[in-house]
Amino acid sequence: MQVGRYHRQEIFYPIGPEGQKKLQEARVCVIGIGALGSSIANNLARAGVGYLRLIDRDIVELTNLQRQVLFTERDAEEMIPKAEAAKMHLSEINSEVEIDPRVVDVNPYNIEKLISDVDLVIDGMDNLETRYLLNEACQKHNVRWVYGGVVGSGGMSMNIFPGEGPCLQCLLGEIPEDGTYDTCDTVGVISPITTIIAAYETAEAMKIIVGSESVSHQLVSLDAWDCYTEFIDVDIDPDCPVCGKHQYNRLEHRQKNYTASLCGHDAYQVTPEDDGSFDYEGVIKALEGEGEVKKSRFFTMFKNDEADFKLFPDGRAIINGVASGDDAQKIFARYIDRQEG
Amino acid sequence: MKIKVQFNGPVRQLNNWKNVANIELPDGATGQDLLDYFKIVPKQNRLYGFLIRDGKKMKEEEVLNDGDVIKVNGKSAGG
Repeated sequence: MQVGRYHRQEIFYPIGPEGQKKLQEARVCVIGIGALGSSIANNLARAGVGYLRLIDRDIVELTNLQRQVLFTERDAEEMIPKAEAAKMHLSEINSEVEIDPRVVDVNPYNIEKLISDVDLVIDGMDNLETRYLLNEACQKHNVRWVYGGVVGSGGMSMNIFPGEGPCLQCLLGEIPEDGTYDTCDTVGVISPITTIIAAYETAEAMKIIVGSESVSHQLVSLDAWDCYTEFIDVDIDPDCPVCGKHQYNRLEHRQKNYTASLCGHDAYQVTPEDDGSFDYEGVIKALEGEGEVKKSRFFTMFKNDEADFKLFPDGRAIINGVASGDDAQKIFARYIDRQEG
Repeated sequence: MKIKVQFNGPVRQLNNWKNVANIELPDGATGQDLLDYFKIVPKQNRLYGFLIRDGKKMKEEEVLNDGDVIKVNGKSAGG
């Protein structure tokens, strides 16, 4: 007898054919397609989740391959954006899944649009600022999300259900005052913990989608090196500004050109307000004659004595070799916004 | 009173890379006093996330009891 590709999931009683149908009808957004996100996307595509929106601003680099399971040396050599590389590989694994890659920076301008039309968001992000922004957007739009984070050999995950349980800010409070904390770029990370946390997040996502009673309402904290695992009860913080008072300060903090330091890189990213008016081809044409212009399928590189940057079709630019966000803004204004003086 | 403090994962750095510290604090001491003992300032510390007691996240202002086992957990910011 011929059996379908999801047979092993369908005969798993807690999913069954009904659960499989729900998986195939589900719309899921994965933000961050690095170590966590690429494992999660891989698991969900194989499980047959019907629609996957994969969001990442970065390009595949050689240092990613130690732990980011979807990517190859060729992806790094060709400098393919992670979201596009993930689509390419996942489409070969499961062509039934609709993969929607978005090579964008997640920021206060676009996050609400990115998450408001999906059933579930899954965290593959590499920083706390974007997670806190997502936390606010999901609270505002009542979208469920699965938090997952790693650093070194440790990691955590918790399901966040707006209106039902604690949010990320209830768990971690405010980000440290100076905005710095350890990430995989500063203290490293090993692949076993990224795989474990990604698997845990995927299992929770599948349970949420099929409506299982086994969905976790605890935080899991574990360490692959110290052989430590703990399930922790977390209460709603009645004074939480996000889920308690519905104050969405990060969502409302919009600058004309949003600047972010790229952790572990000597670079800043400048993202213009997304009003749909950015003229990618026009800007490239203007750059020609001012320096070396190299165009790829996904972005354009520009270099002269003063500036070195990658420009993306959405207007975002990664400015290399600058010491501050202000310096990056100046280069952005001079070469991309074309504001003289 | 005697308190056992466990540091798991990257937060071991806050205790010279050791997993366990047995400390003595005065009666009535709180989670904040425990953090002060290890010179951890939550809003400025790169590693610290929160404290756990009896499988539950505790607030720093909660009073500790003799014999408590308190776990120090990190933030897990990467991905």
